[in-house]
Amino acid sequence: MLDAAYHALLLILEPMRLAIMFGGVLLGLALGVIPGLGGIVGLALLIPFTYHMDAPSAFALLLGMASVTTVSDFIPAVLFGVPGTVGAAATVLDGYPMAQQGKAARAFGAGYAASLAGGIFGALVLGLAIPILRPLVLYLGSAELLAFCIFGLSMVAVLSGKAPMRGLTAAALGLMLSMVGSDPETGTQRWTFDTLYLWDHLPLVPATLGLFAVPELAEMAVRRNFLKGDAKALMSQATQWDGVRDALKSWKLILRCSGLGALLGAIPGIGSAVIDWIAYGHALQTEKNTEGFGHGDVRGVIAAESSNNAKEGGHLVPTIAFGVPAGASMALLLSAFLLHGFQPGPDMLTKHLDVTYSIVWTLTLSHIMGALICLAASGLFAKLALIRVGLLVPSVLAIILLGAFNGSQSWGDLYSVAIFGGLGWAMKQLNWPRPPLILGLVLGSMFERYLFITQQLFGWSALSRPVVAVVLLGAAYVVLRPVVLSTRRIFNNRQALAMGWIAPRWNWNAGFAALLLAIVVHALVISTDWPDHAQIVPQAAGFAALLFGFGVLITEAFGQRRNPMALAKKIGLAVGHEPQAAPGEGPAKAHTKQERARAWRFFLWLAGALIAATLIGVLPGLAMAIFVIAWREFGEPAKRAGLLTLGMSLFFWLVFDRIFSTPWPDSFLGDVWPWLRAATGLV
Amino acid sequence: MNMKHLRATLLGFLALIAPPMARAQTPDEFYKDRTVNVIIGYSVGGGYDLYARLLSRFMGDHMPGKPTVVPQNMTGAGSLKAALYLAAIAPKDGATFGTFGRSVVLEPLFSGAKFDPRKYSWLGSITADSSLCVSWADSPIKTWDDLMTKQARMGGQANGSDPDVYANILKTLFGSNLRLVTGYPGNNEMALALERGELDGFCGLSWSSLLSRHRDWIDGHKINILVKASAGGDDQIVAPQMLDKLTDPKKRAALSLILATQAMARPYAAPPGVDPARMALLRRAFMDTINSPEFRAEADKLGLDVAPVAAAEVEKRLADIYSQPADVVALAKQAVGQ
Repeated sequence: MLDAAYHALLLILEPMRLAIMFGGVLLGLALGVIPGLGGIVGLALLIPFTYHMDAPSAFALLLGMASVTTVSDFIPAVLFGVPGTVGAAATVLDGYPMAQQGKAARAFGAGYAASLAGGIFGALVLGLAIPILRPLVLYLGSAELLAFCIFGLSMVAVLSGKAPMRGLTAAALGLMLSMVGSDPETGTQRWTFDTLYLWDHLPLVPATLGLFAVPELAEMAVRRNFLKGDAKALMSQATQWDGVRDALKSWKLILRCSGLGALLGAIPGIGSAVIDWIAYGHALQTEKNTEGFGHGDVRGVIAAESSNNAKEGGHLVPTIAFGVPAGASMALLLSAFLLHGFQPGPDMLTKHLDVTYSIVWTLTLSHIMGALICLAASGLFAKLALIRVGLLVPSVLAIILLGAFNGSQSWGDLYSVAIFGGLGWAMKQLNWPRPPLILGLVLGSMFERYLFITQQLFGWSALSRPVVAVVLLGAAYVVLRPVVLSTRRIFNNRQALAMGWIAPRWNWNAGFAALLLAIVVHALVISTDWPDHAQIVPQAAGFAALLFGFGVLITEAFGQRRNPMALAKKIGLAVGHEPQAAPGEGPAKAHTKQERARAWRFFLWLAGALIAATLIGVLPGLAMAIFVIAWREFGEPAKRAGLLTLGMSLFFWLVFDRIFSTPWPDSFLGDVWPWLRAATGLV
Repeated sequence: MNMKHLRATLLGFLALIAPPMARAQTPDEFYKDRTVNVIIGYSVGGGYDLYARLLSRFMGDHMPGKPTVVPQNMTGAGSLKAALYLAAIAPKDGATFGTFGRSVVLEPLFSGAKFDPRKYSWLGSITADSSLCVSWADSPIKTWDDLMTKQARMGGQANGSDPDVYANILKTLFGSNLRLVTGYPGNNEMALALERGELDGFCGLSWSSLLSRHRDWIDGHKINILVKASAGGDDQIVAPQMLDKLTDPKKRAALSLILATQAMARPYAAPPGVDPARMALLRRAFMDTINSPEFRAEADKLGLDVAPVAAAEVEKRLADIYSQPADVVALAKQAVGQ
């Protein structure tokens, strides 16, 4: 084994191959920065180029590209609150506030160091596990996969912070949303309202961008500044090396989160979008003094980034050992293997062991290259935080919309990002935790599939399988610990806590809860028409949502504590008007009337951009939106707005139309003048 | 800006956007310097995508004017989205055609999808295929009779996918005792479940996929091929032919209806109403490409089966399918589990 590893290292270190890998790394870094584009797009682009390369070079290029998208997805997450890939959503929670405090460079340093450590750890795990790769993956059957799904869902408890009921409602809602589409058991169209778009389930990219990126952008548009207070002074002081030092101090956290990332990455079905949340939740649970999480605690960044990168190594485990891709980009990589005559399976671990090791080395070296390049350039990137808000907001809005559009390249993606954007904004303002919703959305349908398979094949005896039992106990611990702790707190303070019932009063929170309840009831009514098997899990999720949502409604509308603020702080319970309920939730201080008006206008502009896109095409519509928003809303001089529009439009056209051949959907203009569509392909 | 300038600008603008004068072009002239789009109904990396990208790589060379042939993925609803796009929305100028799942042509019959596959301008199919039911070597299910009598645990992906369709056919038309365990995310996960011993086997595995993705299963004698289902022409596969196991004429007609799609396993079609001269050019180019030595060599390297099926044959099969009596269609619909 060792000489195969050594031989593979020599193969990789050939100058030509290193150069090819470097090219792949540059492309991967570029792709990671642009939200919505990820490894899968790059792979589709590069695979044809590898037809005439030998295998180690081909993998150097492809893996060099695919493995570093999770290094650079960090940059827009910190600077703009826009996750570059779905795995960077948790990074936004702490990285973005750090940038707002002028500590962007420090965040970069910590993030890259964590990415590097995570990436190398993931490669290490892969390399060391090679002898036991096949028995390991074989050991994990459908029952075990179900247990891991449940473990992932249990993280909802941690990520709900101090608002457990709202978190549980959000998670139940996410579960229901993940059931939208065609049901595997019976083929029933669940909640698709006869559209083809919803047949295949809600794409993740628009939902993530809408829930996490749009509210941050809206906040920036409302506050009209990016950097807070004397942050400008701080910017010159905090350097990225401080960040690297932070990462080194938290080496134990990095180790744990990387381990979690690599392990979960190896399990087919646990999508990239949840692994960083699980690691973040783990950090919340195990670190001391987690009050600052969600407001710029560097450990949040470290936890999310190290796991985000370690999972890449994990993803390769089932892909190489069995040809079971742990995600869409792995599926592409698989076809690249087959193209070069390599059958994933026992051969890769025996006859072609050196190729497998060259993959491990590529992973390691490309991460090092990627992190070093980013570290070197991070000073440059941090300066982007100084751009005027009037230019930043329209551009980032257009980037978000285009990134969302790449979800499945249809109009539905744009509506989806707008709707999730509104939902995300409401949740952020009202202290409803958003990570549980994403967890439910990602894990829900996987959970349902494996529930049915496990029930049919094993029944209750699944519980007696060792891995299942251990993982479920872990999940129970994660869920029960906060419940037990807060129950104890309530019990000890029960006198002071006595609630007085008052006449029902109205507030936004109660209204929001009522609206959600109405939607859930409507959805449940629709579901009664479905065949029995198709109803079980959606209705269970629906009733859970009703239960918890009703609880929220009651406490908001009717409950009034005798000494609200002080008590709440003392016992750590969430009350509607407390500043921080869950990590990253809630505005720092309430909005003024002018700011509220700006918020409404922001969403009107968003809707306007979509209408423009429907009428004159996606790229022309976005161009118009950028110009009008910069000029009218932010008062930029027309010439500057025009230049911005020109620059951004050119960039979009080159990247999305020329390079990636994005199939643009049909707009009204192209319907009316088909020759225009034929001539430009843009309308 | 005064009125003169405004008028000039307006006129200039109108001149720029005025529709170009239509002029009759020969097919050769039309394809010169043109981009031809190939719409692929499945995602990158799968079987249909591999075939389409291979075709796109070589087809431009066999067309006058050497146009650039660009593959474009349009996934959704099991390739139904691409099929509907080609049927109604795609430009009918002969510069767009595409491929979708072989069973999509049955959707109008089974689920009322709103298009008529007979109206497509067909190019043909790159190959015909056979669908297999396989079991793992050391499972107790080793023969067709085992499959009928014992409670074999057969895997499935989703209602309407090939593994589920063929398992349902075995249960409804043949009265098999098998147990369908559906919900696996894909073929690879089912293969893993087989190796684990979680499942006994699964159906709906195409011969072409077996050759390209799981060669080691054949070479290493890791599986039993329990039955093959095709419209014929697959003598190299050593297994009983599913249609031969039926005697009842109505059941045979229903099964033949379903199996006709195997005869057009990698179908390529252009929108309805494309200019006949351009269609003739496309058809000729299609056939020339897949019969060319470069294409065959590459296909061999990828393990892709090639057995060309002409447009006329595809159209005949479709005419057959759509002229079956209502009771046969109803039985077929029930057999696939819809």
